[in-house]
Amino acid sequence: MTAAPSTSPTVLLVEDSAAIRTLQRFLLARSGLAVLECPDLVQAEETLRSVTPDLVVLDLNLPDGHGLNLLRHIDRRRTRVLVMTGMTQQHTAEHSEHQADAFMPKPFRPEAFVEQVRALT
Amino acid sequence: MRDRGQAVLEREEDTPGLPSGVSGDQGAVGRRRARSFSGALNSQTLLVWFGLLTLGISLALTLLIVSTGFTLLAEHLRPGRAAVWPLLIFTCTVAGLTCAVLALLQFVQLGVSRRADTDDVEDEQRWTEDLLAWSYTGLALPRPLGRSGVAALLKLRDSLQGEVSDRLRDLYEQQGWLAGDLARLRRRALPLVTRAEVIERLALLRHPVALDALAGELTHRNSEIRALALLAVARSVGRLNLPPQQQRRLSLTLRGAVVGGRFSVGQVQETLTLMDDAGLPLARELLHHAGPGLCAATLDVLARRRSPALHGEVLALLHSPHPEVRAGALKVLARSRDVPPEARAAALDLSYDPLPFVRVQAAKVAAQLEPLPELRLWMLLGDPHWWVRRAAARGLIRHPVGSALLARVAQQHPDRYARDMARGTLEGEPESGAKR
Repeated sequence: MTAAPSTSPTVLLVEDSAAIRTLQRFLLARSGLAVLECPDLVQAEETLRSVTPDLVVLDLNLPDGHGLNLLRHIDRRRTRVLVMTGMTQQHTAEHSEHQADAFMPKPFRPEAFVEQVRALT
Repeated sequence: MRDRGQAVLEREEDTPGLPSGVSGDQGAVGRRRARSFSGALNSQTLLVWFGLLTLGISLALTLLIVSTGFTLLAEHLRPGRAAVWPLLIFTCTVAGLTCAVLALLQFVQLGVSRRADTDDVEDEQRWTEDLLAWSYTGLALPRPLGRSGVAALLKLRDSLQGEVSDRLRDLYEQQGWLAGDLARLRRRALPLVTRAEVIERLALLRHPVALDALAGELTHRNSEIRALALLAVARSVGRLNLPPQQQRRLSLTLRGAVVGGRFSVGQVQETLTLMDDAGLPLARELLHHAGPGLCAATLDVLARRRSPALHGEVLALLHSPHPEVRAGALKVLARSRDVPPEARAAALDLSYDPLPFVRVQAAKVAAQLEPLPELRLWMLLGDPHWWVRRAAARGLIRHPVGSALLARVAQQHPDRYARDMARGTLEGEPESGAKR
């Protein structure tokens, strides 16, 4: 987990690919958001016990399970969820949109990603 | 340290030419990266030395044991032989010590190997940061792209759309990696692993220039290489906005490869899925020209896409002599939620099909027809097969007229199983109705 300053909205990135996580962190930090990072579900669950982020950016294919399994550990009244995945089939998108607050397929446009995160925080 | 590491990197990785986006910056970032790289290089050199040392010790031990055996045998056969115990004890002691040294070496080797892996990951992460800084702030890259840099670049390229993604693609080309990869693919004697690595890199790069080279690999003698090339072309075509003429040409190439039976049904389905909308011309070709198995697999992909784009071709397949194709065509219509009126007669005919898995799909389509074929659906709710009854009931519950029909079935149908299914569906039971 990476530490984050507490003044701006906090975004928790749950993403197993270090490159994509670094990319997302870079884009969000540039637009002034505080970012926490977790590479898997276990670390994300631990983080959510101590921190209530404004937004969770959630990958679906994680090494220790399906990303949507994390939803039950998230306080949905205070934290919104953006699902991001390379599985762009219609049923995956519909299912994710139904369960989360928003869905964004990968690959993504950096501006659209930041805009979406801004809209949700 | 830095110069040596960098020189070896350039020699080992065949980094071609001088980078256009790289300055001769000798700053802190470069030194840090060079140190890390030298560390990784030292780890790899150490691993080679450990391997050689282990091999040497193992050979020496084998020689010792073999020569001891010969000596003992010769002593045993000699008439006035001396005691063999000192020799045996010496050999056992040396063998024991050697095993201990070998075990220790294995542990050290494991440690160094893990360290090398960690170094690679850290190096790739630093490259990701450097490439992002280069993309967004114009900061020069600390050194030419090496293997870790390329891995980071391709991951970023694969995750992004738009201007930055294209700049990364151009950087790969400017630094000579694209030309190097294409030259490697042209080599006939290229090892399979290297060929596979090149294809994977080009798949992630998605460069129009590489498409013909990748298409050429579709006829490679090795099935794994062919499969990799197929998926690489599919990924590229799916995400590149190619001119219609080039897309058509590639579709024909892919059709030729796929219909030629060089790929499994699963690989073809994955290809069509990866190609997304760009795969529709290929899907159309397959529906027209492929055998029943491949045709049914194509219909399955279309059903998952839930798109009415190829309904013209799909309608013609409702009259196929092959039941899997008939069922697949009905499934595409049902899943699209856009059943054309022309499908009505054929779909109702197929609701009498002798095979239940065709009737299941026909029931789903029938429940979406306007106006609702109430009499036929009434009969389908009394079908001997549970899955057919269930498909009809679930289709009907979706709209008010259907729900009203279900309510009548629940009360008045002469078949008890039909009444159970209708009642259970109306009550929202997930697995309603008893099986006969």
